[in-house]
Amino acid sequence: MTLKEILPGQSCVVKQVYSNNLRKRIIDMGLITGTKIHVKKTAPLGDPIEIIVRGYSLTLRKAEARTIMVDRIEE
Amino acid sequence: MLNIALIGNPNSGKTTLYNLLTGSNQSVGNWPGVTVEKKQGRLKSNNIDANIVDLPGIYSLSTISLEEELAARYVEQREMDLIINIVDASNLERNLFLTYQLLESGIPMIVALNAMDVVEKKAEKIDSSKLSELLGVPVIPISASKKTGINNLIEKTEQTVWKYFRHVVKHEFHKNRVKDRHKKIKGRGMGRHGDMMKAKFEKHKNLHHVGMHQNKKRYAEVKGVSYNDEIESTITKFNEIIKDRFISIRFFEDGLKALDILELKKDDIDKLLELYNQEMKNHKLDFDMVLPNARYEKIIEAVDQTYARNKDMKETHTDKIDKILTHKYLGLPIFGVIMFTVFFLAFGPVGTFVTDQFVWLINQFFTWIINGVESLGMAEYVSSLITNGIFGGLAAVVGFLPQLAILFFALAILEDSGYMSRAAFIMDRALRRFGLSGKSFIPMLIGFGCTVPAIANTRTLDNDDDRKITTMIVPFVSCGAKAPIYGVFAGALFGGGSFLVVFSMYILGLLVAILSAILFKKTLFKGAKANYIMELPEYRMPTPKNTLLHTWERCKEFLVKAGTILLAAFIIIWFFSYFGFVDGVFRLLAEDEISHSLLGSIGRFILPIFKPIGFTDWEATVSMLTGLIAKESVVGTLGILYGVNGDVVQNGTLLYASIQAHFTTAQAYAFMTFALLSTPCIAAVSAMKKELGSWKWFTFIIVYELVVAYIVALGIYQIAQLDIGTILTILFSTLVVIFVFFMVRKFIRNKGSACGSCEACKKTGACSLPQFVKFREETEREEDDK
Repeated sequence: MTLKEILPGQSCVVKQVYSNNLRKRIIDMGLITGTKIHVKKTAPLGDPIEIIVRGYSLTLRKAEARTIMVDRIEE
Repeated sequence: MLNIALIGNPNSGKTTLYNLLTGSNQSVGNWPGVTVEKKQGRLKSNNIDANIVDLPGIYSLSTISLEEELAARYVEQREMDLIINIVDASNLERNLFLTYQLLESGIPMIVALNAMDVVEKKAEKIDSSKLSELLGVPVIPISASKKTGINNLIEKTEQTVWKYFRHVVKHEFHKNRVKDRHKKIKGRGMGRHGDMMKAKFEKHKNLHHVGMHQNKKRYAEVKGVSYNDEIESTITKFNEIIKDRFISIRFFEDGLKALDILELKKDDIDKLLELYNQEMKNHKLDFDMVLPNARYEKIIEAVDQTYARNKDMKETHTDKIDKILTHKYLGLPIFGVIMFTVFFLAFGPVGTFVTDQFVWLINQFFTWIINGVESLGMAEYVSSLITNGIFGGLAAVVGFLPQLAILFFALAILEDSGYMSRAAFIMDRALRRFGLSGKSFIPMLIGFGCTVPAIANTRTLDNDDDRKITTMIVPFVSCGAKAPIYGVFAGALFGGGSFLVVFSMYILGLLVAILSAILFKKTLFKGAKANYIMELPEYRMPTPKNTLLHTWERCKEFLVKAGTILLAAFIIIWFFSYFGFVDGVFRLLAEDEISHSLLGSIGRFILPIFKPIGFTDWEATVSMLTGLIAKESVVGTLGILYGVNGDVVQNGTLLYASIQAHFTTAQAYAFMTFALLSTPCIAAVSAMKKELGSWKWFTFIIVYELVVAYIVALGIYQIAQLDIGTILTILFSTLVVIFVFFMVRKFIRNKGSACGSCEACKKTGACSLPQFVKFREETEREEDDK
């Protein structure tokens, strides 16, 4: 499943980041295979989403979120 | 002189630290060839002479924007002798990523561990000496906002400079000693001996510099970063050809892009590419992730050993604030209220009151000067130049200053507190439709007040294309100075409907701005995507000093501009409006003789061009020309030309009769449209030139604005001449065309790929890789489900 499908309040682990404009940046920001992500919320207009990764808060668009493959985990 | 680069993540407190390290000893220039600011300053130190360069904030050396690229290139070329890496201690893990990349460069470095006060407040601890041991470089805990640890940092910088560059520093001392001695003897400057010493020193320093960049002549060697065998073997293989470990690592991460700064032979590059493809198979992890993963592993290890977390902390104050400010339903209305407040403060009663007082003061001052000038009994044209040309023009522009200062101040608070990022987060969805990102909203909004600060604000956009597009569309947004024009024309001719007419002007401006953005995106900036990936920093209390400094910097910029480019423009416009032929004699004109001026002649000359858009007399064209100084001058000039007594800008009703006599409703509407959309005032034009950088873009946008203004005014005026049946026909057919367009677009879209980014993969052939095939199927299935 992709990061886009993870609902606010749920957590997941990164499997792979697929090709998109920002792939390198996403990886450098710390989203690497095995990294835990907590989806915090979606913006008032439904997009972008806010995630907590490596202890800080990052926002990205759903267009990019759908290129990030993840496994949902229970906390 | 030694070059120290200040490098760190965005929002790490870099600017605050820079101000503390340099004091008032700063200069702002541009990076060569681009319009990004380059700030430099002298390090506050009595013992060493060093220049600090404030580099744009970056997260990583792999870049996505022009500003980041500059910083990364600066590091890759190792143009500095020493790095001060500012690290946000409250966000250690992510910040250390860049630190490790910088360590790989082999340049001597000091880590300034910032925001220690925030860490302590959370009852957490960082063992900085342990961290220093792990990183292999000095780590100095500081708090830039609380101004603690700064002296330690400066001291450590001096020590580090001594350790690595004793040679240079010694000469620096010698030079200063010679300088001082000569100052004492001669009381000024350096003598011949000093010059000789200087030349000697420069020569030596240059030689030394070359050496330093090859990492040879340092007194102590910098410990780099070593990785596991698997990675080291790949780096070594690359390095056999590249012969520069740092660049080999960069090549590992960024591919060919990293080789730009080297001059490699074509064979070598081919060999490297082959090697790259080979090495790709030797790693278990995705190749792009290998190095970042190794770094983060090291980071986690380091953080675990040095960071004592407070496990009881559940909710930070940022979480609490964000619960309200980015709330699902409350987020948008709160954003609206905040923006309205900013706008209201600057352009509402408060701003107007302050402006009025200020303008009164300025006028007193200028009158005093003008009287003084006149009493000197200089030639008439000289005193006219000073009073009407220079001070008249300056008063019109400087009069904006109080409102701008309020606006800049309010925005500085929003920016320093961290709310600006939230605003972009909230608005991104709405602006993406027009190909812009969330951050473009702020400049657009400021544009309703004044175009000049709006354009200056585009600098906060990450993406260079976004910045250009926003700069080019902002002038279409109706600024505050255009309001008097609408007020007079709508009031005179549209009676009860005047409010709607004025409102329609604002909507028209916004519409043209948005359509232009879409047009630019689809044609000029094709393929450019408004990227969005943004950190939401923790909320911080803005410090008064920083906020004021921010405000002052922006105001100063405006004043400097007013003092240079604008002054020249005013003098030219003054010449054209105050000189002309009266009864065959070329002479200086009185205030009410503007009809004889050169400007009047130009107005008459170009009138035929404006006939189709409803301009019937030269007074209209001339007033439009004077609008270049400031848009409200349009009304003032009309007052003079129609021979109305009194201040028509303050009291528009005085002009009503003349307007009614000279304009029909259709002509008035076309006139307003042209005033709205055509070239903005000189201040805005010069701001645009500054932000766009190149003459090519600048010329393009000026022509574009004139053409668009002409076409829209023409359309409005000509349609208004038609009978109602024809208008309805045109309206109907336009609707049909739009409908068909959207249907076709929808059709094409549905046949397109499942996800936008697949297009990029297909081109590179990446789509055929096993993992991508699976992904493509998944996304296509998902699309079908919808």
